[in-house]
Amino acid sequence: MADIRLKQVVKRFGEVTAVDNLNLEVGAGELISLLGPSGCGKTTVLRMLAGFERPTSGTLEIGGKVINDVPPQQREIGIVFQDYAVFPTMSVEDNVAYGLRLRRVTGGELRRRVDETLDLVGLNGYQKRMPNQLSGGQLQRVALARALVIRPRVLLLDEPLSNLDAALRLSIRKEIRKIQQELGMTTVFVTHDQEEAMSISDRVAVMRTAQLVQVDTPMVIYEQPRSAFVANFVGRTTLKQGKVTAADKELTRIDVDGLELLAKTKEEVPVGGHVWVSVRPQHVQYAPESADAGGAAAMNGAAKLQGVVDYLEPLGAVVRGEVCSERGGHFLFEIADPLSRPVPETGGQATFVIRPEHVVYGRMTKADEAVFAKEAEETAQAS
Amino acid sequence: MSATTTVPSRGTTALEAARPRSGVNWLPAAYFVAGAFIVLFLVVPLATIVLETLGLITTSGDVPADLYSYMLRITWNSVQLALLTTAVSLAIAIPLAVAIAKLRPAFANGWTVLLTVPLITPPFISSFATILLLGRTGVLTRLWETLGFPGFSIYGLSGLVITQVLHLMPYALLIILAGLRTVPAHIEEAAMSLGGTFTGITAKIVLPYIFPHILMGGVLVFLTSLGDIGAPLLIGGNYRVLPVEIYSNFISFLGDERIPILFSAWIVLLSSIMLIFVRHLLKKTDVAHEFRTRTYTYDLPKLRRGATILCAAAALLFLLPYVAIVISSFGTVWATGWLPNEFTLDHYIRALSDTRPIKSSLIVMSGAMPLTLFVSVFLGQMNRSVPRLAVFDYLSLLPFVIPGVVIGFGLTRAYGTLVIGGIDFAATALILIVALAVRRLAHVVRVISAGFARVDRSLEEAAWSLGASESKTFTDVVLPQLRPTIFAGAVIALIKLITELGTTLILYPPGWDTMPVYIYYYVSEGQIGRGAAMGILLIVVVAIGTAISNRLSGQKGVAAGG
Repeated sequence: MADIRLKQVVKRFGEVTAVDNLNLEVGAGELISLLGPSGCGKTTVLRMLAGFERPTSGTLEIGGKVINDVPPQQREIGIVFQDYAVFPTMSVEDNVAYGLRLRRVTGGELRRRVDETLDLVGLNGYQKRMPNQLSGGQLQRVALARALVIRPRVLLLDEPLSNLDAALRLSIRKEIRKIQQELGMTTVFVTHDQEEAMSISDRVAVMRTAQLVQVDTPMVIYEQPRSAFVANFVGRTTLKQGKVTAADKELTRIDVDGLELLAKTKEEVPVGGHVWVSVRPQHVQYAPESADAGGAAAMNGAAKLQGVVDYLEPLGAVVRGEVCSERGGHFLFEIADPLSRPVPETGGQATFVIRPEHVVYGRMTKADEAVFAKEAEETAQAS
Repeated sequence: MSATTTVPSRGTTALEAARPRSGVNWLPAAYFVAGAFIVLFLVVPLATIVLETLGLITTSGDVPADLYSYMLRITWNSVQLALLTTAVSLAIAIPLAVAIAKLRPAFANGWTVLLTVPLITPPFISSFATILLLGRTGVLTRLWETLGFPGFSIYGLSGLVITQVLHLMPYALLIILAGLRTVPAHIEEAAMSLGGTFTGITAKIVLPYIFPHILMGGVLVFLTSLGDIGAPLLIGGNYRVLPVEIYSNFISFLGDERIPILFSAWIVLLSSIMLIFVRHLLKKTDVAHEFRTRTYTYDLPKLRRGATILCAAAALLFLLPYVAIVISSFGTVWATGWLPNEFTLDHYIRALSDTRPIKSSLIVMSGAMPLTLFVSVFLGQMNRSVPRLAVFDYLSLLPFVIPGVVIGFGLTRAYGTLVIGGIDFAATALILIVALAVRRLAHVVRVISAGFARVDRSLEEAAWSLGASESKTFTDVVLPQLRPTIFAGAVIALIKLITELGTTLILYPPGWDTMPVYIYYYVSEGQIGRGAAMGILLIVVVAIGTAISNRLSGQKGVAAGG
């Protein structure tokens, strides 16, 4: 059963539409991420759920009840902010107890629940500390404990990790996920960091300019992006424009700047149709042995990409690079476990293969064209 | 984080059943009181003046044209004085601020403290210091004439400019210093690496960067000079300015009763235009205040020595009046020699035995201070949570630009004949308490709203989510964080209220003459020593009040921190 339901929700601030006709359901106990670039409206969605903003139109439901007119005080929602918002004049204990005291929980029960929750977030022993004596990570745990202790119906997390340093971000996101699963708490997590969203969520809802563009599990989002924007925003990829030259039920042949790419047919696009194409770097496979035996690769349907290696980034576990081919242009590639595998040289000629099952494509829409236009603009500025 | 996370027992139904208690949200009632205060005691009085003026112009029809040309002449006098004072103050404040902030003079903090002493003194104190030093028998005049220079008179424009600069330059200095603290070091470091020099960088980069602050400092000096009544009354001589014209025509039986009305309305009009400009500036200088940034100082030994000498000379110049006041407060007649003829404690004994002004000041203060603080705090909260009532924020700044005389005059026109429960409102200390609270509202609102800006909005939202009503959130979350700001506001209120003269002169009911009125009276009677002694007592009261407030806020701060 859906625990949170947003129906045709619109939010306008004056002329600006921050959220446009948004429909979303979040199941009980599910953790869903709202992922998108800054200014896409994801925080506005969260603030509407919390009751800090009123939707211009549409309905918000929690637990089957419409909450549009319920003030934040009565929504039974736990919220954790990006800047922690730990009450600076109260001790850790008083911060966590605040919501309980408002619910007239007192004495031993209060103490027990506060200690239990501080234990849950790993802050037992910090009861008497003042916020200015805590680190960023600890403050964020206090904020989490304060939200969890009232046993909210729904937990809302507004970029809770973005003020923390990289190592802490990793560990706290794991802990948040663990606690959320243990408590079976329906959770909405807002972030602009795609890796964060992928790692923590049951499902990811990708937003772009006030609209929801795709809601799926992290792996589906990654493997089957339904638009150029999602393909580009979630994970690294090489994004190209192409034209369909032949298509049948099995395979679709796409011309990308003179490079013939074969893709498994997923969406039927008529011959001559304009498409976007996405190939993940790890699927651009270095194939030194196929340089001369090119025919063999082509028979499997894999496209052969020959070109000069522009640069290499040896990152340890992987080597990243870019190859520039006369036919097809630039492609990102990635070689895992480079110590036990052949690696090309910077500036040298190299051959790569791209298999049909690794080529993701889709019919080009206006929104997709905008992604390419923006990218072209950025490239022009960079050079 | 502990390895074994104990899951809190889910479904302890007792808790889930307990909804947060909603409680009564009393904030709207507080907003109403604060808003009503502004409407009743600021908007209504000013509107009364404007309406009476309209009546004067339209119905009687016998306002002679030369009254208007007289008004314009007086206005020009006021503006000329204010412009000169502003120009001279900025010409001193800018180099001084740069020297203190950028050149690391010896005892930099000490100079800043010394130079800001005038801020905690009543504005007119510097005018009788000017008389003591530069008057016809003043010490410096004597020195001047002994050296063979021609004599001069301070009664008039030049004396007024000197007096006002002595008192107002520190305002500009403080604001410009605050501005200089917002200049990020990177900017100057970048300019240095490109080959910039101290003077080049300061003139081309730093000063333009803090231009809003310089402008703000200038505007503050300009407005205070425009509204000043003490100095023009004491040493203005025949140089008449707007507040003096309003006051003298108001208290004198022979005065033209149209003049206070017409002139006040004229000032209200001019001030309202100024306000738009001031508010714009306040926003600009405020945003900059929020940055806490590392600032750059130059390591130039020669200039550093020069800066130290400049600061020392300025401190000497600006403190000289106070030295003169201290000496004269202990002296008998000081007219013929380099020092008073004899020294005595007489003035202090008399000032202290005449307890009425001290008592009046303290009673008025203890009423007006909580009142301004209350109104400022709830206006601040209203301003952040009810944006459509932003007009009140605007109105609260009006006293910033309107001279005290006009506010006092407006209140008498609006409530001079008001009788509540058989008691004549204007004959009690109540009118003075209300008037001073209004008069100094803008200063306190400024301090308090800066404090509100530091209270993160998401803290309130967090409390709401946990079930706290808006008023509960206010008392539990907002107010504790505002505590230091409220104490700072209290100090400003103390200083500003206890030194107020313009409004008080117009309004004080019989028996309620305050310390500034007492000082003004004795100085204008020529009994400078007695006025000086009371002036010193006034400064002592301010110092004690400031110390108490700092102590209280300090203790709370420690308690909150540990």
